[in-house]
Amino acid sequence: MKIKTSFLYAGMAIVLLSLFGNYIVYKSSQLKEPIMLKHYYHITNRGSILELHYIANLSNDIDIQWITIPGFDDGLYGQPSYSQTYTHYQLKTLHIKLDDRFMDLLNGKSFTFDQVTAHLSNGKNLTMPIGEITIFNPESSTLKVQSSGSSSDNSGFEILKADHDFEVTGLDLPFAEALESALSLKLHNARMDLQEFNREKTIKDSIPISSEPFPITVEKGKHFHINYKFSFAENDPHRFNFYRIDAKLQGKGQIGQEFTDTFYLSYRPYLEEKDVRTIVKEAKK
Amino acid sequence: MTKIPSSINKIFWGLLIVLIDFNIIIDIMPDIIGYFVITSGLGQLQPYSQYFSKAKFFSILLAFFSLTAIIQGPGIPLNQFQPSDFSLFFMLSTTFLGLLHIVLIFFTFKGFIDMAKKDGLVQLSEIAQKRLFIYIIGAFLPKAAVPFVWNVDDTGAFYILSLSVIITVIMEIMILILIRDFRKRYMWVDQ
Repeated sequence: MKIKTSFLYAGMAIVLLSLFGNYIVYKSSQLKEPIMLKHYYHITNRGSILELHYIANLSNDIDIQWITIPGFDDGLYGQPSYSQTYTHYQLKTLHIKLDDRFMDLLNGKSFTFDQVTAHLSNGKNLTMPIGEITIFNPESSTLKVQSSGSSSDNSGFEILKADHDFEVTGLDLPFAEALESALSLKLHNARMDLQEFNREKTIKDSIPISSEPFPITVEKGKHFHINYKFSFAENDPHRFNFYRIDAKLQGKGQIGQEFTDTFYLSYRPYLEEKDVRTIVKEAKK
Repeated sequence: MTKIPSSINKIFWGLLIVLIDFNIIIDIMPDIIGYFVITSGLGQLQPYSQYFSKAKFFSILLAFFSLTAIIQGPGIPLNQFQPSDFSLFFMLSTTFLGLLHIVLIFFTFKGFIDMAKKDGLVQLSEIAQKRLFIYIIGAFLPKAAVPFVWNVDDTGAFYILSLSVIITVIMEIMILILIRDFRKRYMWVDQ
């Protein structure tokens, strides 16, 4: 066996190819700025922490320091924390406290925004679409929450009760079009047909919708069950969105007095490596 | 002790110093010392094969570049282990030094094999050829694998780096054992 010098050159070539090849792949995967994910929140102001999720480089070279909301020029600060890491990226969450200054701005009205200005660690400011976030003041609740819960599989329940007979006459469910095929919702064991719900909504061009299964009559002391589960198809364009919804139940009390109560649904996607790659690929287009 | 075994012994100790890193605040046995000892040994062996002259050139080059490693300090921040953050400069410098080291071993052993053939030590030269072949593959493999730490997750990077270190150490020990065999054989020849 004779080992030639060319054997040495071949080895070196392989090493250098691996070095530069891997570096090129690494550099091309790096983000110039974080990617804000889409949030569809329709929430009451009783929860004072707003969570915004974004994808940043694993190396953390460029991060979001604080954000401002159009129409509200004072910056909103939040501590970013990472919740999951991937080969080149990490999923980070900005926990933003909606403080008194922000609540004063609401002044009892609802407030909707669809973009924020992110102030980055490299000194740049960037306007980022965030989906659609509405914050509103809830009306005083008539129904009492007996118990509620949610699971990491994006399902949850709420059990409501009243000390008098009541009738649920309608529902206001924001983002129902996008959730048509993903959300399974049961009110008092009656499955809501969201397709029918949306069709009705289009025709009447008004909310709440009061078709089947409404009205639902609940006797005094009996429980009113709400169950939901989010389950997006693999090719559903909305599957990477975050949803937090305080849906409105319209109802009538024993003597006909109308009320509006809310119940809470939330969806948080579990992003795998391939999902993050898809999001990055889309964002780079 | 005669000249050839003594020179081989210098190469052995030089490589051992390079292999072992004693870091007590600073590296108390820096690679530069090891490469100077190797250079000295190779210089004495130059009359026996032209390959030793080539090896000596690379040994001097490595001694020079090892200086930068002393100034640079430890390359991997172990308290904040994140292989994806390894800079191109860090990877290039470690790869460059690693490749030069492989070339040094290659020409040193080509010299040993050449010398053994001239002295009629056919069996030893054949063993050395086989070991050198294994070494070249075993030394290049980790060098080619390490850049993948940029593009795998931290667990994958940990396995790549750990296996690379283990394979490299095994290869270097195999080479050290072979050098000891050469030394023993030449001590016997000289007697």
